[in-house]
Amino acid sequence: MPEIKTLELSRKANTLLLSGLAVSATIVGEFSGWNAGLNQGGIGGMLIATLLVAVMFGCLAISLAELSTSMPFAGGAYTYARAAFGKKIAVIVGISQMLEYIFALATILVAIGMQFRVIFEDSFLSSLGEPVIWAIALLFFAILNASDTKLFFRSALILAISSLIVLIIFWFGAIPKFEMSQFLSIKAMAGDSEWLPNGLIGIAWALPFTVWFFLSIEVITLASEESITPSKNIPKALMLAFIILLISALGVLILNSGVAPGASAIGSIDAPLLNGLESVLDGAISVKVITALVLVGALAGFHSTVYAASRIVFSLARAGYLPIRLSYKCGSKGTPKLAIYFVSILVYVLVLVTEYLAEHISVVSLLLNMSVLAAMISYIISFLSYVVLRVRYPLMERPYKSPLGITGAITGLIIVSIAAIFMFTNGDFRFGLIIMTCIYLLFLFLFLVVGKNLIDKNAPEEIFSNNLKAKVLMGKDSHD
Amino acid sequence: MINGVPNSLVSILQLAALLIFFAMAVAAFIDIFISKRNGLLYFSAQLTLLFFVLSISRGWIYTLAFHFIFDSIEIYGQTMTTLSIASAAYFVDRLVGAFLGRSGLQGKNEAVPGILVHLVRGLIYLAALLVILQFVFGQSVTALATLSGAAALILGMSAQSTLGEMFAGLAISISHPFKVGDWVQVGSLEEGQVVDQTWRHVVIRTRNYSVININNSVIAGNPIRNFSSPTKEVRVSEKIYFDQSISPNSIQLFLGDAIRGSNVVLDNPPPKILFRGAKDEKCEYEISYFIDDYGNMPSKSDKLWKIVMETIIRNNLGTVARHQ
Repeated sequence: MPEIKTLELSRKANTLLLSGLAVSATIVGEFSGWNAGLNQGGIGGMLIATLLVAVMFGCLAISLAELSTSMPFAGGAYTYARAAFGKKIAVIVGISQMLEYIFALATILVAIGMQFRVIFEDSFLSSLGEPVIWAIALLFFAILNASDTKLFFRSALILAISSLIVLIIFWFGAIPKFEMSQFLSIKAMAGDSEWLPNGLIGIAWALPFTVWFFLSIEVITLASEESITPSKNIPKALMLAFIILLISALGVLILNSGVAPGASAIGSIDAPLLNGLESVLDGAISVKVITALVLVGALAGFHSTVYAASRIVFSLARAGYLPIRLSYKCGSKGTPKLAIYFVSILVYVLVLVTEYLAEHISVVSLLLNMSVLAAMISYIISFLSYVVLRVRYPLMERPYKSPLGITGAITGLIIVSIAAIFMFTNGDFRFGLIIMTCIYLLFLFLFLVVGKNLIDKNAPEEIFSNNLKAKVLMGKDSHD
Repeated sequence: MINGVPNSLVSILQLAALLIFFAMAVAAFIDIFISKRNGLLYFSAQLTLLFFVLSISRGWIYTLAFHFIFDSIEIYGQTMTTLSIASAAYFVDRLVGAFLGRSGLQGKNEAVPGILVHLVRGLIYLAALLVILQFVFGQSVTALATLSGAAALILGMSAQSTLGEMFAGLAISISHPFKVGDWVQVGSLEEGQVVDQTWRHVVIRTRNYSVININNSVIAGNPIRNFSSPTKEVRVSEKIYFDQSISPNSIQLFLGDAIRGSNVVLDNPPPKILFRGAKDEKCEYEISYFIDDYGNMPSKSDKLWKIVMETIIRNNLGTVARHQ
């Protein structure tokens, strides 16, 4: 029987490539998803919520920069939860991350299929069924991900830059056509202002939707084992990506709401940037080309989210939380091929189920909501992990230290908790929350019954956590 | 403005800033209890920003939330601005404290004299008070300065000696003839280590661990010999007498080798045994060496002389006499 060994990821990503990965994974949120918040908070509520969420993600970026340089392993938030809270919470966070990316992939794939059919509606390609288009897209990006680490990062950077160019084209077209009447077109309730049509509570209702602008920025931490020098590359890449996304978020929010059809209409449509571009280009370019431009954002998000999902699956498998074979070496390119193909198959099955159930319930929006919920849970536990590790292990080696320290982490925790509370109380999210809770309980049950004894003590995060505990027992690092 | 709900870009941005600083202030407050370290610094910074935004947002936020508490918008504005300036003063105070404390800890062994810390802190709060009086309550600082001048005259007459000590202390702090931790000798007084400097006096601990409080004016009026400046390494020289019958070369050779190999004195600059001439049938030699800290002088000297005596006995160099 040939010797099978766990894969060692290859270190090829520098700061620019890592930033490209984060922007590529996140930029799809600037293209759509955020706009439903306009109906909740109005333009003022969205602006305030966006700034609050920006502070939250800024705090998340610097807190994760500290954690990921201390624990430069592929698991990201799951690794930090393992060190701070132990295996049971680590399971919850690991599963949250996996679901966040897999559900997001399913929704983006459905969107890609729809846009693809619009672009090629007159050609023979339109005769292909959506399941075939999904399979082609999945296969293409799975092969691109599995082929070579450097090729993956470079293609993610190219897609990120292309998406930014699309946004910049839109901004330049939108600035001369900006109208205050369109910007403030959402009708105010009696006694409220046109900036806050639903009053102050509208800010809180808008908060969950603004998370879209930055959702998945944390994907950089999953590349810790593939960055050339994690202690230098990751903090810089997180900061660079955050600044780019902040500018993009404000640009999109203000300009997409300020041109026809206006904030009121934008709040109720599926593809705000598509409508914005149509309005700005005013018939100069065909709808197919505009759809192709918008498709760039979806492709960027899909490409990087396949990466994120495969890395968290690889990390969980390596530690024994998922079948360990998914982390085995396969080929010579240093990419977790088995995890990538596993994720692709899972996503394909999910979209087929989505298609089957589409007549009964809106599965796509359900998956979208569950993806955001999973992300929120992973963010909350990441902030808590940061605080616990700072308090319990003050002498832990930290090549990069967050300048805001515990204050920054708690600030982020407060904002993300408020967003999560308003998300949980929203009727649209409630069904997703119930399903998520069932999934967590199922995995926790499986872990306690079957998986607990399968954990590999030689996984890097296990070694790190056990060393931390040993140091405390020896009195070398403890708060007391 | 409808019921005080923000209805312009400026007021929306003010509300955003308010919520952000409020969240950060709450976080910093929690941090004080969790980390017990520098939490107050962050907290005061966030409070300053929070009160500042509350102050500049008075146009809409008073109607929205504070008209139940304050009788008029003017009183609300004055209160928030005063709180903002007071928080800023506290923040600067903590910042100065953290900076001075850190420089002492990282130290070059250079703790900052208490007098300077108190003076800087006093000036911070005085400046804050003047700003509040001038810009918030519209009181003329010029009138206040005149009033305080008269008060200072009365105070100066009645507390002449105390003020004299204070200004002498200030002059010492600025001219910096010594720092806390240095070994000094003031005039003909006993030598000792500087422990602290206060408004009135410098505290020196002598070798027998008694404390001398020397008034700042005495320090300012006497020569100060600092054994720890410019560097802590200090040269010690001691005299020793041998019979004329012993060859100077033998003495220099034996004693030089013994002292150099003793690990008691510094290797660089190297110790020296100098022949100073003969008197009353005795030859005078000077042993000159460097030690790392003047505070260690008695123990180093003790160890050195034991080595010297053992060398003399072992090499049969005759009887000796010592003079330091």
